[in-house]
Amino acid sequence: MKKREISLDWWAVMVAFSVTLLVLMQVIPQVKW
Amino acid sequence: MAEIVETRGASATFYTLLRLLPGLALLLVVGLAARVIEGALLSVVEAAWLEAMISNVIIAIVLGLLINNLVRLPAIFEPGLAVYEFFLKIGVIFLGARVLLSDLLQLGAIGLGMVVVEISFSIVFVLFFARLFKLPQKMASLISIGVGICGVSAIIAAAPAIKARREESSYAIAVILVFGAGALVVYPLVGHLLGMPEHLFGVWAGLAVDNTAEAVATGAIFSDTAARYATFAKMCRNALMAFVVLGFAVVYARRGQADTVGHKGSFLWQKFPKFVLGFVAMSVLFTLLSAIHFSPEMASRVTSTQASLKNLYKWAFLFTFAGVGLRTSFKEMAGAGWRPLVVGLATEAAVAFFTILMVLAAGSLIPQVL
Repeated sequence: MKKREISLDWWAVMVAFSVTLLVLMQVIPQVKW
Repeated sequence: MAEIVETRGASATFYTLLRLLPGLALLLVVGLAARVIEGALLSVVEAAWLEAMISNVIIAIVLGLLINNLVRLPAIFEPGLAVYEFFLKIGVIFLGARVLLSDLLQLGAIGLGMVVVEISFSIVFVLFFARLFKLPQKMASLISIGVGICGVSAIIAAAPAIKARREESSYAIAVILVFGAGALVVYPLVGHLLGMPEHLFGVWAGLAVDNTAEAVATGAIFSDTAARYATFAKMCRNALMAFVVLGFAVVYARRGQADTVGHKGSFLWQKFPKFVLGFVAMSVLFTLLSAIHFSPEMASRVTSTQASLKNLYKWAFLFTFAGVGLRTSFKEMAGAGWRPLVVGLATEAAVAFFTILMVLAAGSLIPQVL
């Protein structure tokens, strides 16, 4: 089986967009500082 | 970008993520602690000048430094701490939500132009000094890539491409880290002494401080706005990293000291920092979302999401700053030897001086849009 690699950068992109989507859909409530 | 998560089936991915958890949790704890300590100090301190000096950025870095240099951290934390820049990259992508595409293009054009000048200057300068101090040539190339572009990740990207020896690259990395730590102290002092405007200080820090995390932290110690400009300027440098690395790879291959580069396009794509694409994509998304008004309710949702993402990037950066402290070891720095340090210091000072002149001269061209 060919080894597939996912870099840290792609993980960051995936996580950032998933979180954004969840905030936009109001699944995650308003984030405070 | 050196850390690769292997995905050989779901269980291997799960295992990798599990190994990262302790270190990532430590970053969260140190970041949160910095925030709590900041709040506690602010409630006690009354003098305004002392209040101005209390910053969660500095507290997070110092806490991390203390833990890493006083306590011997168990190995279980290592994998997670090694990927602390994960938070930085997420933070940068969130930042994209605040930047309109038109501003991005305008600022990007000026940023890239300044970066090209800065990179050329620092490469020529390092190579000159390295010859003067008789450093090994590949180490000199690595330091110049590190100083010119983006610190540690640029060195890691370039080392295999020019077939550098392991100690050559670890020396080069140690040099970059010494000056990253120094920049955190020196730059904000200089910025305040000169009374620099926030956005110009940020651009300066982004252009001159080597490692991405340290560049953002240097900006953040000055102010929030400075942190955003530092991030943007640094990202312009990161975006050019692939091209410079390719240039060096081609030169060394021509001299027969490294393998020839096969397909140049795929080499560029492989070395290109993908989180920069994430930032641009986020900017495109929110430019579209705020241009198209589906309904008043949707419009307010977009605005509140942008507000949330603004707070999220601040959190993400805070966890990164904890990582900057937790990854800085004075012992490792001392092992770098004096010659690379002298070359590094001369270059850093020259680059810092050159870039501050450039930023101040071009100041009126830099739009205040972030």
